[in-house]
Amino acid sequence: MNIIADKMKWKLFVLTCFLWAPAAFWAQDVQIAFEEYDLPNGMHVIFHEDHSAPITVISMLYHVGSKNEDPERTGFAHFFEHLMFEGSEHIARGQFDKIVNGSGGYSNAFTTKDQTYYFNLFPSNHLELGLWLESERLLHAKIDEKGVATQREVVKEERRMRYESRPYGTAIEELSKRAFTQHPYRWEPIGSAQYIDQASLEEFMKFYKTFYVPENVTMTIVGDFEPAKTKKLIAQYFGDIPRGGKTIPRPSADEPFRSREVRDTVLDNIQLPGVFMSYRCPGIGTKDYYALEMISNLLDGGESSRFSAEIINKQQKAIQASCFFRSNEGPSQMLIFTIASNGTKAYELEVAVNEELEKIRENLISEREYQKLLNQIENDFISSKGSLEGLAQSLPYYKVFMGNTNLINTELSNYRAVSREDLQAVAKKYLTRENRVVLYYLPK
Amino acid sequence: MHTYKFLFILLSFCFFTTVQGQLDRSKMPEPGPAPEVRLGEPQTFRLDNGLQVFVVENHKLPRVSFTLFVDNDPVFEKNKAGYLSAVGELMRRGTASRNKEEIDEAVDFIGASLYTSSNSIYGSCLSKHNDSLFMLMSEIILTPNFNQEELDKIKNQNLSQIKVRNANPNAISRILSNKLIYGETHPYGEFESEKSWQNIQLEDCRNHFLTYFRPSNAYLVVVGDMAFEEVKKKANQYFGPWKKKDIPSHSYEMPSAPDMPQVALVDFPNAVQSVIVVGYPIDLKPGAEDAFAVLLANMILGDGSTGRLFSNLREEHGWTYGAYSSIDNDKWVGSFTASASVRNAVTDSAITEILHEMKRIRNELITEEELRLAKNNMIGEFIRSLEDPQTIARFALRVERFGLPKDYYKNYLKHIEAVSIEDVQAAAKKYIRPDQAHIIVVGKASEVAEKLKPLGELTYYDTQAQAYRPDEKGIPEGLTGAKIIERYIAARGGKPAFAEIKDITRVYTGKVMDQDLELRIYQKVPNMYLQQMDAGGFSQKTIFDGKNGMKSDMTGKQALAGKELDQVKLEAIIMPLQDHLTNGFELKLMGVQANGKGEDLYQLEVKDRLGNTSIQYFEAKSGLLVKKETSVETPDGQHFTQSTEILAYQDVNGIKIPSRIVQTVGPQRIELTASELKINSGLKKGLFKIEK
Repeated sequence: MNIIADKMKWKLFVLTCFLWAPAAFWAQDVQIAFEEYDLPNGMHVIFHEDHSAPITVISMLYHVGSKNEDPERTGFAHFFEHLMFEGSEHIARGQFDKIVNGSGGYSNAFTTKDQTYYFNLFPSNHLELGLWLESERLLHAKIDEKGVATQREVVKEERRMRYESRPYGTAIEELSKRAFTQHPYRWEPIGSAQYIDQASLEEFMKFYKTFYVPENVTMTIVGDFEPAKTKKLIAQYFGDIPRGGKTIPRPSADEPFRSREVRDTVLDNIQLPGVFMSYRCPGIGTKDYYALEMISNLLDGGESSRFSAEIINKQQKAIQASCFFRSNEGPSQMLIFTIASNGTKAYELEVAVNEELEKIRENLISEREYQKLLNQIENDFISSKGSLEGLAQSLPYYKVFMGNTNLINTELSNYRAVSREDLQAVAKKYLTRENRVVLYYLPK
Repeated sequence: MHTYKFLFILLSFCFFTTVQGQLDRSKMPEPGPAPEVRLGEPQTFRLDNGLQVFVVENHKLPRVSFTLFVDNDPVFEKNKAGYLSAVGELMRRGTASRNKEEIDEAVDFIGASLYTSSNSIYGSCLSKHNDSLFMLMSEIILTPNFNQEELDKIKNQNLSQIKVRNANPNAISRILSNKLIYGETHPYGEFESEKSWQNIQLEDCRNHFLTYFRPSNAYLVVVGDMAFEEVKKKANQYFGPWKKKDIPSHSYEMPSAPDMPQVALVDFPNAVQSVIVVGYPIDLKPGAEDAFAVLLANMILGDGSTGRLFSNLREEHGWTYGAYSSIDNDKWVGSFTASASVRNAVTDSAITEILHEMKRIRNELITEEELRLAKNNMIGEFIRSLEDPQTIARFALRVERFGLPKDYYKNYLKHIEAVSIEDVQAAAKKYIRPDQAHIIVVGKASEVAEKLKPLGELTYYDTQAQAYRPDEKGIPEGLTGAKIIERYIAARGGKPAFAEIKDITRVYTGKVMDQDLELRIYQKVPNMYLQQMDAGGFSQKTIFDGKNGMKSDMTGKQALAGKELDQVKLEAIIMPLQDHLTNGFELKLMGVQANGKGEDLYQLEVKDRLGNTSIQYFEAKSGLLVKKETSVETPDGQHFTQSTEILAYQDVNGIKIPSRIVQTVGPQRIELTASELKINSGLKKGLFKIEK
């Protein structure tokens, strides 16, 4: 029921020894053992066993997000996600969550530009219940006028709460709609209230039949379960769900790189100015993508990062200076969000940010800072394996968007392969004025 | 051999088809046998200085976390609210051997995290780096170096943060809720302001740290990939030298809930949603006997997406993205809160439904089915929490800190199972109190205020959580009482026009208690005065001839003296405010109010040389006096307010004279309309002659 604005950062690190003063540290890593297979109807299944606690997570990643929407129906995929909690052939309206909670479970979902992700966390004796619930959702979800009418209002409240009522809350929408001119990434998953009102029941049914089909979903089971027995149950609950059979539409629109900087000003109910930027970047899995992820860490990874140390602490021009690499299946965005300190003007803050980016373009980073980045990434990667639900998200993500589930064990080498020179090169290539949108948020 | 193989194929085929045939999708699957819940115990030891250490070994991942905290009583920050937060920030901004940049670099270089607060330090890292992080934590505690330059930076950051907070309805809702729920007599109700941040001195921070950050009440919790013996060795090495010292203890009075619902409103004129909180303090200590019953009551009322609040406000009405309630147990003072963000138009309806659900869980027994599901939910939460190795440490710590029975968490599921539907209702009646709640709304007042009034006494608060009257506004910069008078004189016709006045005649008629009333006032420069009032056969006259005064009515005549004489002397001057300085007036600009018709009124306190004080209201737009309030004391010592409103002025020889006046004294209201207004009609001196 959430919208995840930025891609979960899955960062890995490879087992290699490296040296630095004063002591040598061996690499520590954890291999995640998994198995995967396809059902005859095309549904992909991934298993990872972990019996340390009596808990099982069942997740369903549908390869559909806001980028699959009609530009006249933005917000549709996320709205649809809400409807998927309404009920099914055998689950009465409003009972979905009651069944889950009443069995000691927890379930939720989110929609991004590329995916719609549902998950259920249960005490492990309720595994079959989780399979039943997800099969109901895939096979014959039930959507009626009452549900549509209610969720329409709920989603509009979600929009007000997350975007309109928050200071600077509309920044991401305002950036994206200027960052892309053709690609459906130009709107955010929350979409427009106007289109949420217009969507009809027939359109929902068509969307359901197109995207909620076995060949478009990856089921992941993580935690305390027996694979052999579970395979049988999956065959029972999902084996006879028919394929959609049609080609699943994927947007083909590419987005050319800009040749000119786009600048604009937005007036908001705020007291301190904000400066927000978006740089057009390549999609996930490319070599440049790994380098840009590392640059985002260089700018905003910890108190010693460039933004924190220089702009916040030394120059005291900002109270917040963040960088998110928002990776997408298609073109990604490097997002910079800064809020000025009291008395600092927007352009002064922008100058400070520009200077930091220029330093990366102009100078090779030091060996020590490079090592720091790798150490941070190693830590983040290992820590990301600490939660079952985290694994239930990352395993199918690697499979669906990067075509290789085993990246959960090997992706670290992709970061290691990025040299200091590569970092400078991508900064020169992507972090340029022509390739960006700059927004000033000023008090109304 | 062949037969056997065939049989195998046949059997597996049968099995496959049977399974397919058996599946009845309309039936919800039955759960398997309940999993065994294994609850580990941390290993513990205590250092000589009192620091108590809990260790949960877990080698699943090569990482470790350290949580150190001092379990002290809460303290009041008073007019320096924010200094505790400054202490926390200063801790990681300098030690005897490292400055902020060096600390930051040390933490980031090993990919670690480190957070400090005035009563805790938390760090986590890959286990191969545990020594660096452990050492840094001890350095922070043992050799702090708080310095002014860093405090100045922290102050500036926080002063800016307050500006961000001021624009955020959720943040404002939080500080106001705390203030109202916990009150001003408990530290939980405190919040930071620009002023309180400015008051913070380095000494405050240093003293606090040296006084309170001591090992006698402290706990160190180590969870993860680190062996018990290694923790023991390093804890002794790094925290052994930490010196103990007696820590001051504090106690506070238990905050109380209001006697009846109180509505607090913060106006965000551009808001598209109202942030609603219904809350009050409760006395619910950790481990209280009815804790499980009240938590189950809350689970049914408003915990998560299956609570009644969510079902009602979101799924039934579509008013909100989420509506929840929570019950906090706390050693000092707990709280109940219910909250939702809803669109403006349904603000009052949403509150009504929240209160309705609160009443319903008190007044109606829940069903056995509801209780079963709530128990399952709670058991599930407990089981799911065990995934995190921190949980075992958290449980052990709560047992230790709050003196819970040793087997409290071992018997947790039994405690849940023991609760009956009657227990839930009894707990609801005790802790869920819709009639004694603060109802806190941050939203667009012009759209929600009127509809909130029936819910309870309505008080407006500004974004600094200070109560105010909504018709009062800030004083424009540079505006003074003298300037208001200057504009007033100009609006009445200007100083030169007043200088032309030789005499004025004013006659007003009206009704008082069904009797006709006539009021005549004559004035002649420099200071002659005659006022005559006739009403229903009653007649009263006051004369001042420039030197002496006389009052007469049907009972007789009386020479004026003392204060009465001084009074009429002053009234005899035409437009005494014109020369307010020479005439000995004191002016004090009180504020700006809205008049209810979209116009601002300047509120001026006017004190004349006799000590009489009145509040006078001047219209910002026209500059004219529109209302005057005087406090009147009756002979028997009662005070009441007399108000005079000027509804209209009439232009006479370029001077504006009040032509319609309403006087209100207590319940009595007299409306006067001018029947004769003249300037320079040639009044003779003889008119003001006092007949002895």
